[in-house]
Formats: sequence, C-alpha cells, structure tokens
Amino acid sequence: MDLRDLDRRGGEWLRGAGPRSEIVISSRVRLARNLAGFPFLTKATEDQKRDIMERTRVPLSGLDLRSKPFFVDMDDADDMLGGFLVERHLISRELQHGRGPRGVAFGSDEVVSVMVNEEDHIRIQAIRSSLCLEETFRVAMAVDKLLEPQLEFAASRRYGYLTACPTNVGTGMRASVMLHLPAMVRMKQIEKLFNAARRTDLTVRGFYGEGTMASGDLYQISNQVTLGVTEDEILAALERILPKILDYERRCREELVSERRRLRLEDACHRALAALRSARILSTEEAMQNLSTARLGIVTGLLAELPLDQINELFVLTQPAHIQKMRGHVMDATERDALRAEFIRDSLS
Amino acid sequence: MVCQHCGENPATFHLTKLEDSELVSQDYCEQCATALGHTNEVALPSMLANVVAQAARGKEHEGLACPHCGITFQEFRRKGRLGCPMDYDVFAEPLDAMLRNMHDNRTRHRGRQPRGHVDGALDQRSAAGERLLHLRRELQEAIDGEQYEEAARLRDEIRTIEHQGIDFSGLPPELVDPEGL
Repeated sequence: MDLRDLDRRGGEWLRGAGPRSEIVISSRVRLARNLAGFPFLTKATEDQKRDIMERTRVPLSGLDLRSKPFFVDMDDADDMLGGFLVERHLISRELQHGRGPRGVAFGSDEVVSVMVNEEDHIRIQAIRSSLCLEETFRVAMAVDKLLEPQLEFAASRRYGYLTACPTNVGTGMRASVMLHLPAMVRMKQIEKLFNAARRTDLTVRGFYGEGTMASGDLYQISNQVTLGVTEDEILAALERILPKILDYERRCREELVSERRRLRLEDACHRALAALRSARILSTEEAMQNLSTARLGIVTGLLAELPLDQINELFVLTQPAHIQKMRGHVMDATERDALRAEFIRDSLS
Repeated sequence: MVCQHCGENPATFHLTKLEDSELVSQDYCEQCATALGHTNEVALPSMLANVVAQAARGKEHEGLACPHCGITFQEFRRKGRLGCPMDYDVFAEPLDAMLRNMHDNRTRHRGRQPRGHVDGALDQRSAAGERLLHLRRELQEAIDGEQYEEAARLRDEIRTIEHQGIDFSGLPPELVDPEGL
C-alpha cells in the first residue's frame, strides 16, 4: 500500500460505529516516553536525534501485525504531506514544523501511530472509533510493551516516566474523547461542557487540539493531571464525567426534534445537505459547519439516508492539505474551495 | 519585621516593586510609608502579589544548572522544557511547587513502571543512564573538537555500557513481568 491510497479514505477512527458513536467520534490515548541515557530534545544534538531515530526504526517495524507500517521521515516531507498527516491526526503541528531528524510510523488502519523526536523522543498514540477508552488504552499499552524490551525508557521511582515537559511526567498519558456536540451548541448550552471540565481535572480543546477552534462542533476532552494518578484512574475520571455530557447532548437533541422546534431543525439539515450537494465553492469552515448540521440530521433521523461514516470521513478529507494532495499540487484558497465543493458534491451524489 | 526606614516601628506596609527588571521588597511602618509617599501607590491585589512573590522565589533557583545536560533553571522556565531526565533530581526543589500546581497537588508517581524497574534494578539503571548522558556529551565535544581517537574511545565505552544492560535472568518471573504482559 502507498501513502497516496489514503487520500480518499479516512482512518479506522472515522468509521462512525461502536458504542455512543452518535456523539463520540473517537477515543484516543497518548503515551509520552523518552530514552534513558539521552538528553531530551531541547538539548539533543542532530547526531543524537538521528541515533534515536535509528534505534526506534527496528522495533517500530513490528507496529502493524497485518502489514508493513508506514514510515515518514519528516525532514523529507513537504508542507502538503506534513499538513495531510496533521489533518489525519497522525502527527502534531509541533512535529510538522519541527526541525532536524524526526518522523512518524503508523499502521495501515491508522489506529496506532508513533511520533519520534517530537516534544519527547517517543509519542505513542492509539485512536479508535466511538467510546472505547479501555480498549484504546490496551492498544497503546501493547505498543509500549512492544518497544520497551528494545528501548530503555527514562523513568524514576518517584516521578515515573520522565518527560521533557513536567506537565506530562508520571504516566506520560493523555486520554481523550472527541465529541460531536451540535445540539448543545445550537441550544447555547456548550458553556456547560467547559464548566463540567473546569470542576474536574479535565480540559477541553477543539478538533485539532490545543489552541484550535472547535470547528464543526467537535470538542476534545482530556485529562490534565498525569502525575500521582494511575492510568486506570485517568480513564475512570473521563468515564465518570462522560455520561453526564452525553446525556446533556442527547436531551438537547431531543429538544431540537420536539414538536415546536422540529421544523426549524429539519430546515437547517436540508439546507446544509443542499449546500453540500450543490455548492460550487466551499471554504473549510463552511464545509465543517454544514457537515456538522448534516451529521446532526443523520443521528436525529431527519437525514436518515446518509451514512454516518461518510460524513465523519468528510470532516478530515475536506481539510486544506487533503484537498491539495488529491491533485498533488499546492493551491490557493479559491482553487481549494472549488475543488472541495466538487469533491463533496461527488461524494454525496 | 521592623520598618527599613526608621528601623524602630513594626513594618505594616509592604511593597513589592519592579526595579530594573528585579523584584525589590520594601517594608515600612505606617508613618514612614506616608512620609515617603508610598501610600498613594496602588497596592497589588493579593492574588497578583502571590504570583509576583512566587516569581521572586523562583528567581533564587534561576542560576541553578544541571551538570548532566547544562540547562539552567532559568532556561527551563523560558522554554518550558527540561534538558534531560536527570533534571527532575537536579531541580527537584523548585520543580516541586510547579508539579503541585500542574498535577493537583500531587508529586509522586503511582502508575505503571517500565518492565524490570524493580527497586534495585531502577537505581542501577539510572546510574547507567547518568553515565551515558555524560559520555554522550563528551563524545559530542570530542567530535566538535575533531579529536577522533577520543571519540572512538567514547563510542566504545558507550557501547559497552549499553550492552551490559540489566540481567533479568536472576529475578523471579513475577518481578520481571508482574502482569504477565
């Protein structure tokens, strides 16, 4: 398989199936690890970074049991490929814009990806469709167990896994879920999500992580504390708060389809679908907004004919680097917006 | 605490000032503070004063440098990233308050440990890690200084330590792999 084959399909996590997939897009677990006997990346030389890359290459080749994993050397990757991997949630912007020897390995279904020389020497990520934090955690741990016998990780009894930034020390673990909360947004109740997170040790971010806008009504909620808590406790904290948020979104959805509001929502959903099926120009933001409304239409039964996985995939496949990669060249915004509209039209016709 | 101006009355008026990017604390009694015209200055709200005081405390440690990677505490504060695993010990004292802040007042790991990190082995391993950090730093210096014989010797030494690793064979299986993973 080739990287080019990924252009027109999303990773497993966009499949829109599994527990609570009407609200929960995906579950994700990230583990930060560093090699013992090496400085962290702020103090590592180019030679040492290259050494770390080489050491991880062999163990990482066992990442995907079914097929050969992809390796991307980010020093050789152009902006388009870097952006493409960021949009697919396979790498961070920090890795994309970093310098020196660094890269990513990932399996063909994109459930597992491992960044090398990002903020830490190693960042393991597992991401799955729907609400399945435990299972996703087990996948991430399996990768950790795969690497551990071959790479010695920096750790101490007192502080656990040692990381470049003290905000990750201890378990080195960040668990998160990506939620689609269009009804809470429409009912102007989204502040409740931020309030709920503030009362616990959890934090809320947008679709593309730290500092990004919650475009498409997509929100990520994750743990903040990594030290002094066990991995299971981190998962439990998320699992404790999630039913409340999910229930709130569900009730907002029920309200939106109640007799007095139904027509308004129906109108909004059909307008969104019409724009997606007919527009000749669509900006990323406009596409995300219409996709979000269409998705709300699907899960409330108003647009029952549309498949959920396709809408989920379009959230990612219509991002700027994806659009450009389809044609294989850099485009300005006008050209991109026209191709985006064409691609969505074709997909939904 | 007595007034730093008259040196007699108890100091009840405390001022934290920024002078040439240095935080200066001044303590006066009511009379001196009025006489010196300080009572007209706007007092810092207590929360902000705490932040300022914390920053001032952090300053004590700014000169602190890690002998293993060379990072200073000041550099760490600026970048937000540490330089090497040993920094957690080197900067343990000033880091403690930061860790409490970040991790809801927790400072001790309770999660999983890497395989084989049972008590004795962990100490043995961190000693090897520390030695490797030094050797790698010396190696880079040797390469930069074009001392290739020295570089070759250091490479050999690094390889020897890495190959020693830890022998798990003497440990009972449940210690090596407590969860059978």
